[in-house]
Amino acid sequence: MLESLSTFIQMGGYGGYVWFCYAAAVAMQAGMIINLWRRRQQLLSQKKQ
Amino acid sequence: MWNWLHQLASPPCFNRFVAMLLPWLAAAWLTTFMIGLWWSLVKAPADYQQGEGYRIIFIHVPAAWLSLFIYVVMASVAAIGLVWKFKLAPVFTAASAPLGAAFTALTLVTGSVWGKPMWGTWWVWDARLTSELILLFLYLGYIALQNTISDVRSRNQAGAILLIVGVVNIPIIHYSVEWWNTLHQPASIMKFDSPSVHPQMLYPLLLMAISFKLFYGTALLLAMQCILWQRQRGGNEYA
Repeated sequence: MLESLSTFIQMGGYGGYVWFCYAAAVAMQAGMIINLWRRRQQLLSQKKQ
Repeated sequence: MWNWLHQLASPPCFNRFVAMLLPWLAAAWLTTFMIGLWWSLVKAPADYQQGEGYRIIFIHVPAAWLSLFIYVVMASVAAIGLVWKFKLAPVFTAASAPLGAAFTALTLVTGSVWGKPMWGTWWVWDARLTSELILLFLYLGYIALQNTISDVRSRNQAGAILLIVGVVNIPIIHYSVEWWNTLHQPASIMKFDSPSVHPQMLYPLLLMAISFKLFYGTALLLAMQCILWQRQRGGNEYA
């Protein structure tokens, strides 16, 4: 189990390249949505004042 | 249909439309993304030439498709807005531009990270890479234009014209791998005959492409709403 996890993470020696790309895609999308959502709530609360 | 479109383009109606659509879009985006991640990282088989390293394709290609898709949609909306004066058209393009720029940057970065182990270099001045870089500059140019012109009408017009003229770059990006035979591989999916990719690699790729487009829809609605509310408040960022 632990061994298969480590082969999964290593990605046949391409681990660093592969995980970087997936992390970039996840971080970019999550960051944008969180950022936009925060700004939306901020504007919404200012609108109500 | 035309009346319906004009009605939708009025801000109060747009807010109701967003409230209705947003939760569904967000849920669909997250679901397809989770399944897509699992399929592309775990279930899809390794490539016979590139081993596990090819898995970058499931991020790189959907990001590249989306970077072109957003541009074409923006230019079409800009053209329609220019002719029929839809109030929401400039809001749509202003909200789309940072998203398009982000996915163009993601395409270039993931391509670079893929190129290092497979081609042995982070970057070459290959036609495909260069034309995609020009796409990034088009997005950034549009954003800069929006931030520098203070008169609303001339800003909207200048932005729309830049977007429409920039469309010439889109077929150049698409056909660059055929016109100039350099390092970037030719298309394996967007071909008129059947794609030359195994279904277990093709399906997660298409799923990721759908997921990226759903993300664009979700983020676009949120961004448009922010811009509209900022305008109503009289904030000068986009007003």
